[in-house]
Amino acid sequence: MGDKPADKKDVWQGTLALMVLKTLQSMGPLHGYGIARRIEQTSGDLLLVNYGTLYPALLKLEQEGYISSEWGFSDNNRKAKYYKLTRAGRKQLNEEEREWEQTTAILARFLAPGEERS
Amino acid sequence: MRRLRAWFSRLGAVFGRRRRDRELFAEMESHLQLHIEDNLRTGMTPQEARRQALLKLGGVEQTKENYRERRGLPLLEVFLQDLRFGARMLWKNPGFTATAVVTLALGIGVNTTIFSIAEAFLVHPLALPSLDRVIAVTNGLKRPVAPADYFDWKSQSHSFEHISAYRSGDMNLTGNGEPERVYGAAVSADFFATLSVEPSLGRAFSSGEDERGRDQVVVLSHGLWQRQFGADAAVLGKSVSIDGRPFTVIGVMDKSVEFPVPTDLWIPLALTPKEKIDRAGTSLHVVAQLKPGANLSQAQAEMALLAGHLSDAYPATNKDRQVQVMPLVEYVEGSITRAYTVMLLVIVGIVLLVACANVANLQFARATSRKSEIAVRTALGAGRSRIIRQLLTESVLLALLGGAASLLFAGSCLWLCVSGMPAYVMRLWAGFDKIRLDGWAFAFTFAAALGCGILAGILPALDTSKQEASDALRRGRGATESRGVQRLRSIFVTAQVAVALVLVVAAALLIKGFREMTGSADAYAPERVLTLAVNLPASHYAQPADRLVFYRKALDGLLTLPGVQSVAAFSCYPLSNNGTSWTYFQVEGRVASDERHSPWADTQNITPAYPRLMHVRLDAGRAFTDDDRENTQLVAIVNQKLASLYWPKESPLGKHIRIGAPKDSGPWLTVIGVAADVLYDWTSHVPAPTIYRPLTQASQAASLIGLRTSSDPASLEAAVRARIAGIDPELPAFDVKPLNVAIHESTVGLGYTGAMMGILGLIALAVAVVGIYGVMAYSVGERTKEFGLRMALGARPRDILWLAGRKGLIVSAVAFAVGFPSSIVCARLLASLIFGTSPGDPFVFVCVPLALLLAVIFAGYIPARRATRVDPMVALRYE
Repeated sequence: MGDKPADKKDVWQGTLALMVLKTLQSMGPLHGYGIARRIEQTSGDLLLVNYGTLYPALLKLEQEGYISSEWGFSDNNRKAKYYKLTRAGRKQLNEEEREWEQTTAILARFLAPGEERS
Repeated sequence: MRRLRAWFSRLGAVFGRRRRDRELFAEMESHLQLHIEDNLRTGMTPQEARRQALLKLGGVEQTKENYRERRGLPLLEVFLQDLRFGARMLWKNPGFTATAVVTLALGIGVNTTIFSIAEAFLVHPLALPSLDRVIAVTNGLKRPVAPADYFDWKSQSHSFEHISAYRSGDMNLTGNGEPERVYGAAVSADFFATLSVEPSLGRAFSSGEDERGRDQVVVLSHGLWQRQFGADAAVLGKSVSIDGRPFTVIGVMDKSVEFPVPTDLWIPLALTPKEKIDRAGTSLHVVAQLKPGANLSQAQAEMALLAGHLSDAYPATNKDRQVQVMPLVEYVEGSITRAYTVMLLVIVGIVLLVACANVANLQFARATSRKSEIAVRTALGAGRSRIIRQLLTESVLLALLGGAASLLFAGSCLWLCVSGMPAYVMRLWAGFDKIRLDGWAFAFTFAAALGCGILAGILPALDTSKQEASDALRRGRGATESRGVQRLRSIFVTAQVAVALVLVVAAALLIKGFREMTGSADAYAPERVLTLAVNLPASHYAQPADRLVFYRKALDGLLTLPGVQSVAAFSCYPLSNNGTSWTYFQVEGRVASDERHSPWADTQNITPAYPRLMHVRLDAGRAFTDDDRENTQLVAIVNQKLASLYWPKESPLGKHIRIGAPKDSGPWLTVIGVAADVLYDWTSHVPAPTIYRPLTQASQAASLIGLRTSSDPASLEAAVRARIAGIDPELPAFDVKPLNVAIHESTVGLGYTGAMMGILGLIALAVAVVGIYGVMAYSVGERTKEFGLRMALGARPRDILWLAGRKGLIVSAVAFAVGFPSSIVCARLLASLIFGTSPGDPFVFVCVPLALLLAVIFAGYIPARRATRVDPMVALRYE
């Protein structure tokens, strides 16, 4: 990873799970490659995703029951494993989204320059 | 919750690996295809598209490995892998596996056996529901309590939910067929509440039934109910007679309730007003149930305070009287049971250590032949910890197999133990009927096996994994053990032989002592003597004269039975274990200052024929005759021991002694004879000072009667019972049995200890022999080449034998140098602990080491001899 572009960030595990859940919510059932591409595109190519790291994360989410998987066919008729959100996953996503917003809001307040206390 | 779900999911994934791997591969493949297609669309060449896709994925194998780690439980998977591999290795070396498993099975098996026995005796000898809350209150050292003290405690203590008293003893039960001798307990009304038990039939005593006049009700034990009343529910309301008084049956206790051991029935403890205020006579046992929240030490503190008050208020009786509370379990424990059990536990622990050393030795030997295998694994990238884990898993697997086999061994040992014990003795022994392999025993066995596996495996594993891969690979099959390991193995074997020597000597001493003791009974020719016991109830035999009439009729009647040569009544037979009663006595002119300095002696009240009956020799003076009556001169016979203690330089004949403590006043007795020593109570190790008195002058209610016959005494049993019934139909003759049977029953516990020690000694011996053989066989095998070379150069077989066998001889010599002094120390220890062992038995100390030495030399000789048969050509061709 020595030649990693300076402006691209590694995706860390916890956030990756949230991104996977969010992607599946907005895109519907999707295969691993699609999820990886989508995360990369949404980040405006600012995130460097080593696609391989995605699969253990998917497995962990599946073991926890937030997503489920089944084999299907892609647009160009290739066999692929499709992942979709479960009910528990949807709930988990809402919860994590809320937590994330809270965290960023708090941080934003700290970091906002020169803002007076009310 | 989610974590748990994930964990189970991963646990599931440990199985069906292959299918899951296929699926992962397919997913990776489809991922790459999708990516390559996208790349092609952007105009890359096919090669470049594939390269980029692989790069972006970050490597297929890495991804798969990361995925697998997340999928299953890596630790568990490695463990299962090790287990499979270990099982294969064990299967492939049946000789090694069988030796190790059998060694461990024996080692663990004896531990499980003794553990089960110890658990039954020391942990739950009684099956009472709230045993941990029930305690005994004593006057220190399990001494009984005076009634007045008990009533004061009952009214003044606050630590107890219930506090109740009992006393127990033999009683005559009639009114249901033949009169029977039973063991009964007189208990206060809340006794059953104290133990938290309920009758399974009928009711327990209600309060107030322990008052005189309302107390003629009885609760039967389950055993008596089955034995005497045919388990008939209609027994409730039935009338029976106990010691001549009528009682109504009101309940039957649950089978599990056997307290005080071995009670057949319970009646209320109805003390007379005079008894209730008695503070001097300590006759009651007191049990109590702690209040919720109260503990033993609080109860002890409160009782100590109460004892202080009583001591101040009644100095005449209560001064210096201690109060001690203890768990009921401790209270019922036999006085020597704990010492014996703990001794056996220690010994079996040592045997197990020896077994572990043996298995460790076997593994060392095998590790050497596995060096190249380990080296290959190391070269392929296995870390040291991985190798250690693998070897330990194998060792533990081995030990668990041994543990499983040990359960079979322990099961049969316990079965032998329980089935060999006379039912009569088992009833008296709290906890004996609770001996079995229970959950605790299984848990113990598992833990012991696990511990053994690790203990026996850790050193070989550490050593084997230490080597450099390159070294071992280069040396190939010529690999040898390092010097350090050889020394360690020799130390193990030396220790084994030394321990075996100590154990076998101890076992031999114990067994020989036991045989000598039971053999000493042969002097009394007990197989020709029938004994029976009677206990004359005060209701019918209030006066000594009444009893004498009975005894005279009984003895005369029994003497007329066919084949009977002599008949006598007495107090206690030789080699009994609880029958003697002792008393203080005073020598005329030398009355002791107080009880602590007073001489004491066992007493035997006998009829004139007793010396003839029991073959007791009179060394001086005369025996009692029918002319020694109630109103003639009061006389006594003393034994040699007493005579030599108090009249060492003069004849005791004509001297005067008085029965009782210094402050008592009683009539003086004249010594008219000196009898040879007889060991009446074997637990006292040596014959105690004994005073014999004629039954006419020292009347007793409970007596033994013996008949010497010219035929088999057992055939007279029915006739004897009939004779006694002819004199008093309500009086049971009990414990009717040949004297040799009675002696066997009283000494059987010691016999058990001896047998157990014998088994342990044999196991230790076998293990030591196998150990020597293993080490010698290994060292010979390793030096085959050398021997071949030497023989090619002209060495004679005798030289080779010496070269090969030297190591075994050195090991044996060191083992004996250590073991022999240890066994002498151990023997002294045993002699202080167990009766019947004489620590200086020359026979044992010569023969046992010699036999052991022969066994050890033989075990070492076989491999050494093999060395002399090495064909030089074959040996050298190996190079």
